[in-house]
Amino acid sequence: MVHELRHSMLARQGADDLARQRFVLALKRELTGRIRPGNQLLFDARVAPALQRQLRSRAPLDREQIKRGLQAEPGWQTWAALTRCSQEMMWATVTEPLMRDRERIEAEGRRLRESPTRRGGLDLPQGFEPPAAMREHHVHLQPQGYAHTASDDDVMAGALYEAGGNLYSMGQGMGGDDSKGYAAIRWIRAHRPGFAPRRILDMGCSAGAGSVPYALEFPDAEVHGIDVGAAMLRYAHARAESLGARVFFHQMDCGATTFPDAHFDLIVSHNLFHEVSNETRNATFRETWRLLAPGGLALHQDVAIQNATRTPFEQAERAYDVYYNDEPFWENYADADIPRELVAAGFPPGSAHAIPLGKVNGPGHWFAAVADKPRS
Amino acid sequence: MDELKAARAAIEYSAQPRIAFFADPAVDRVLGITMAVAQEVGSVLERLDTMERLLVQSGALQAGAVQAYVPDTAVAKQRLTMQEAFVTRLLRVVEQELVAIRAEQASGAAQAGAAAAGTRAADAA
Repeated sequence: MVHELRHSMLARQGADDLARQRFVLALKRELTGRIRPGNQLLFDARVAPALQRQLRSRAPLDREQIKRGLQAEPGWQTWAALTRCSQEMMWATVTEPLMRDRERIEAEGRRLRESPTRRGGLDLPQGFEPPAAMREHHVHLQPQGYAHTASDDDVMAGALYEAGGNLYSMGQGMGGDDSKGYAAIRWIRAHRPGFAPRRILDMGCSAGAGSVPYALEFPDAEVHGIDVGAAMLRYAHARAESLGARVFFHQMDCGATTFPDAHFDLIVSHNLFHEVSNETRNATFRETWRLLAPGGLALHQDVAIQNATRTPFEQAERAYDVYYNDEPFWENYADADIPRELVAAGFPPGSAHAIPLGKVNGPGHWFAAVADKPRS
Repeated sequence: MDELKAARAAIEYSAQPRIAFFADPAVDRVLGITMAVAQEVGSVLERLDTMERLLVQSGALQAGAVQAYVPDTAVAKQRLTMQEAFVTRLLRVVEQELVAIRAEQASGAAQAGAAAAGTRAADAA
């Protein structure tokens, strides 16, 4: 909805669909902008004193104690129940027009992928099994999960990802035209002037919203996107074709790709690491090091939720997403020291840094880890 | 796929495990239903707004005419009845609980009455 980018893979929607989506958006903005800040108030006024009385101690409370305290607080329960409800409503609301238009979208996807004038490509190897975590968890409560694939024409996982993702981001206060890809490209242009990558890899590309800007902004480069879900990638490819972008999508695990060594000059990822395990994250950093050509650049962008800079209350309050938005690795990621892990993966000490990455259209900034591979 | 089929398919496809945030899961359920109603009200608001704008655009209605409309006494009376009927339907569950209590009381009273009448009949015999 409400998103400026139009292409033929989006569901055709009626006025009632858009009205229902605007309601969800308004509800999410109210909950995020006006009700959620009240959790700090509830904690200070009620939860902390009650916990301290119960523990007979004035010692600082730790993250786990605060989580239990919040869950017993009626005000938190109301916010959490409404937040969960708004997320479920969001999915039900964007699923309905997709169901209505499903046949047309699948046919359009097929047409775009098989078009003789297609620019990019799609590589779905036989027998690839998405990692268990991606099958078992429905990240963001996305219906059936990111990796779900029902048939050879199925594109629902990608269609839902795009439709829900737009609504979700706007509910967080971001502009509809905010783009993580463009935020990264702006940084690269400002800090690596003249950098002209020949091959670019987008790891964990999902529906390809991050991959397309690289193809459009670096027209001489060959852009590749990898992810684990077939329906997700099928949609990503068709969407990119519909937008006139040349991107090659592959079904691969970002921790174990099949590309040759030193194949890419630029490796990026967008909002990947808070959805993967510690093992996958570190394997992905080792792959980043292996796949980068000498003189290449890695830029891994993600949400700015690093626990090292947060109070125990903020950490506990943020854990909502772990338990109720089915994002089991959110906390692992928030606890991690990413630049240190990049060095452990092979990057020379001092070559990997954490930076605040300004958003294109929205409050605050993203987190990014940038790492350069020396020329020799 | 028609409207109803799409709505049912979307609900089935997007089903998630139920999580209870409140001590009584019934509260979570009622909250979910209430928010669905609120969403439909939001959608009705938009539809009315669309109608008004289209009518103004076509010249059938002057801008601001809806807001400025003052019903005469007869219309105001009809509207009050309409609102009362709406509120009655809205509070159906509360009302029906009272109906049930009244019915129980009535049947209890009838039984007591019958029993008393029976006693009297026995006395008389």
